[in-house]
Amino acid sequence: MADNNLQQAVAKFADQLAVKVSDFANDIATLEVYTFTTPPGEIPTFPDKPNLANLSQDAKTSTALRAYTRIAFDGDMVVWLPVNDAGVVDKSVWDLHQTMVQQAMDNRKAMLQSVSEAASSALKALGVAK
Amino acid sequence: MPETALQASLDPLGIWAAPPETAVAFNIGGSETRVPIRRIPLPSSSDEARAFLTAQARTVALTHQHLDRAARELALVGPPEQVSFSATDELLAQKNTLANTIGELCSPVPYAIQFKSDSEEQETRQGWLDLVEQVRQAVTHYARVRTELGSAPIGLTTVSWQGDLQTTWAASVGLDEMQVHLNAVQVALNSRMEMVRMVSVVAAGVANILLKAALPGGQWMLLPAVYKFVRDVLQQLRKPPQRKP
Repeated sequence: MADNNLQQAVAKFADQLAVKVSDFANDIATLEVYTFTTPPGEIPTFPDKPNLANLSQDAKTSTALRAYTRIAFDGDMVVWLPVNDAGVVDKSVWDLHQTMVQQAMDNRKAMLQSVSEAASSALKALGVAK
Repeated sequence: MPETALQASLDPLGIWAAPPETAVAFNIGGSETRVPIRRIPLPSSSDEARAFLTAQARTVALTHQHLDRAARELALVGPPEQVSFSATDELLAQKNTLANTIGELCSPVPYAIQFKSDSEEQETRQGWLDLVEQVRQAVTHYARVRTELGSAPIGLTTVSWQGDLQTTWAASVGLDEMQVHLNAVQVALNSRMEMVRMVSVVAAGVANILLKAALPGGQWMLLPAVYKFVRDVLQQLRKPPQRKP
């Protein structure tokens, strides 16, 4: 019985990871990085991707979008630059945002590799076990 | 698995002292929901915070190396009749335990795996199931990392497993503190990656042993034994080297 539980857990896990890796092929089309600022003590937690169109209507928080990058893997790129009160690009925020874009790209690559390996190993173990 | 059960499990990699917490998340439309979040409280001084994160990053990097070592050792495991280990091997105890388990599983007579007790077997089995669940959740949900210097929040970063990333900064924080937060995010993401790798190493190890050793049945009993081997190897390699007299 315990044997079956372990096998089922691995089978379910492998199936879900395989679906994730498959979905990734659709999701990989774009990479988005958002940088917001908010008053101290009011850092909100978003449950999922923020909707840029609705953000200005958000009455619950005082969150302000400062920089945004959307990279499409056909080479198109959308960038919102942060500016200060004088309308000049805020270099400190921009530099940090660029660091985060690089971090996001590196993390995506590493995570895809790790998850693919985990799914592959789990499927191999399932295939070998009778 | 219910969130409470996941929270109760310890970090199998031994990197974080506390499991992820949950926090209220606000939808833009105003509705609320509870989501898992990795809160990283740091010393109030930026220098001390950086030192803490450097130590954590080193722990994650060492864990990566130790998982590589565990994977190499598992790839060398063969049929029980070919077992021989050096007496000076720092992983001798762990290898012997795994070899004994494989030997018992290969035996045609009813076997009993060599755990110290039923509770240890249960704990190991549950540890593996918890790890699988944590990885499943890691690729299902967004990773959220919130840092605080002393009691002051610095930032919150949310990362989807595809890499989309959003960071909210407390408006008053300086560049130094922002860099501390980015370092914390990197450590948290790297530790999540190592957790995924741990599942890979265990599953690949099981597959390798099953290919080499003819087990008459109970192949899945090997899973907790290999998980225990990997966990024990991590613990052993984390110990400071003993000085020779």
